[in-house]
Amino acid sequence: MVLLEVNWGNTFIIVGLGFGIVFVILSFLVFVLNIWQKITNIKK
Amino acid sequence: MKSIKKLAISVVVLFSMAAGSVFAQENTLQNVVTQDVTQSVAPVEQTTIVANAPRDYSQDISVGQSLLDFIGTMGILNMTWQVLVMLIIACILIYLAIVKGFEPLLLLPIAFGMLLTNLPGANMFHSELFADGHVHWGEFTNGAGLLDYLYLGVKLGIYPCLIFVGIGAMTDFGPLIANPKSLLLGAAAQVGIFITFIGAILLGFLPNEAGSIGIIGGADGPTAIFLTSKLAPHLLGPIAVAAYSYMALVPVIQPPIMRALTTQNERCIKMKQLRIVSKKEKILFPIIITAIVSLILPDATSLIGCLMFGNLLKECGVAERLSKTVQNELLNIVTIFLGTTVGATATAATFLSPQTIYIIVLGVIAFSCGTAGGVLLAKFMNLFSKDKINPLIGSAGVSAVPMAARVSQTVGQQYDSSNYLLMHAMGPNVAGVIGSAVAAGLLLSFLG
Repeated sequence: MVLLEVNWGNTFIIVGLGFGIVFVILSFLVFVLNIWQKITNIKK
Repeated sequence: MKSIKKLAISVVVLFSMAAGSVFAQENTLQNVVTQDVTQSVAPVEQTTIVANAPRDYSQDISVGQSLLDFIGTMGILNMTWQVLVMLIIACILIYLAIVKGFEPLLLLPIAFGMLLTNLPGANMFHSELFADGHVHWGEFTNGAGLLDYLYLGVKLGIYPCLIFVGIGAMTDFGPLIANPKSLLLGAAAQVGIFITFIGAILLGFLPNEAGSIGIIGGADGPTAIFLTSKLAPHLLGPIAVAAYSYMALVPVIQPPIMRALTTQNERCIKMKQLRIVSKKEKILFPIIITAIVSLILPDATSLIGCLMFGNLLKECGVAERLSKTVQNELLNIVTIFLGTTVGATATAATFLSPQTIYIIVLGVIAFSCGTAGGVLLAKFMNLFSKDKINPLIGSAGVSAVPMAARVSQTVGQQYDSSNYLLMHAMGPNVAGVIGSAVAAGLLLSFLG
């Protein structure tokens, strides 16, 4: 049974951390861009 | 007339001089050879006797044996059904690229590389030089061919990065800078990569193979090739073919999912016009993104750095020649090398296996989940956002620039012909390129 052989702990850590970090990094970029726009007083 | 005569005479003289010098050289050579032979090998009398005796040509060359050897090397006699199937697949891909226009710039070199590598007896590509995930440099002197040398660019991760320089020089990050929230849609669409990772593990793939298969969901060919060449080079052929085939099929795969997940009212949402982005912002953007992403995730630096370098060349305005070169000559040359060598890895032994079918199926799942992820996050953001987002632009987060953005525009116009979503969709679209490169860097750091 493949299901039993798989190390599900590692798999979910990779998936959770992976997708989470992608989201965190891109959210941080959103934050930086918003701050940047406020500093430079660019009107949306 | 006199000048023509002079010319003719001078030509004749020149020819005669040249002929004379050639004969003279031949005679000199013959003399030298004869002298050497007679002096060093045998006495003069013996040489004369051997020279006068009738030669036994049957000992020099066996015509029958040579003919048999020649026939034995003919590819057609070494044809197996597996090779025949691979040649048919290569021809189908060539047909799809030329006649149906499926990503022809990459699918055509890939298909031709596949054709070359599967021709029996041609020995165009030697996978044993790259066995066990390493380059066996010592064996390169034993008959490595053109494709082997060109494949080093894939193996060492050079071509995908150079392609990213070209893509960066062709990308306008303006819509993304004007609407930074687009980055979130680009992030959400990467969910397909990770869901497919689980699916691949379930089907029995090793984690490094599962990561390479999952990256198909990033809908970014160079990223998929970059990661696969590092994590699972033996799957490079099927993954590259699946990634580029599905990228061409984005207009077929995405619309049903977009319609299924949105309501009529949502599809008709008109978004606020994007502000104009200044040149200074466009110049600073690639520098800031490179610095931030590289400081957090060094493994993504090669892809993000090259992408942003190309973009900086375009936006700075002082390196127009370099910008044009990376957009055209460099990109085209590297595309040819990348395509043919990746195609060359698709031999019968690696391609004709149940794994390839799994990869094809998982590729569709990856694309579909990525599309759904982008659309659903756009709907979720609408719950909190003052300025409503048309969820159709969420699907563009899967990269596939600019095809996915065009799909958003097309589907949107089917419900409201006055609704122009293209520029709004370009934001998540280029965010998807950044997102998939970040995801590739993460998978590389986890599984590499």
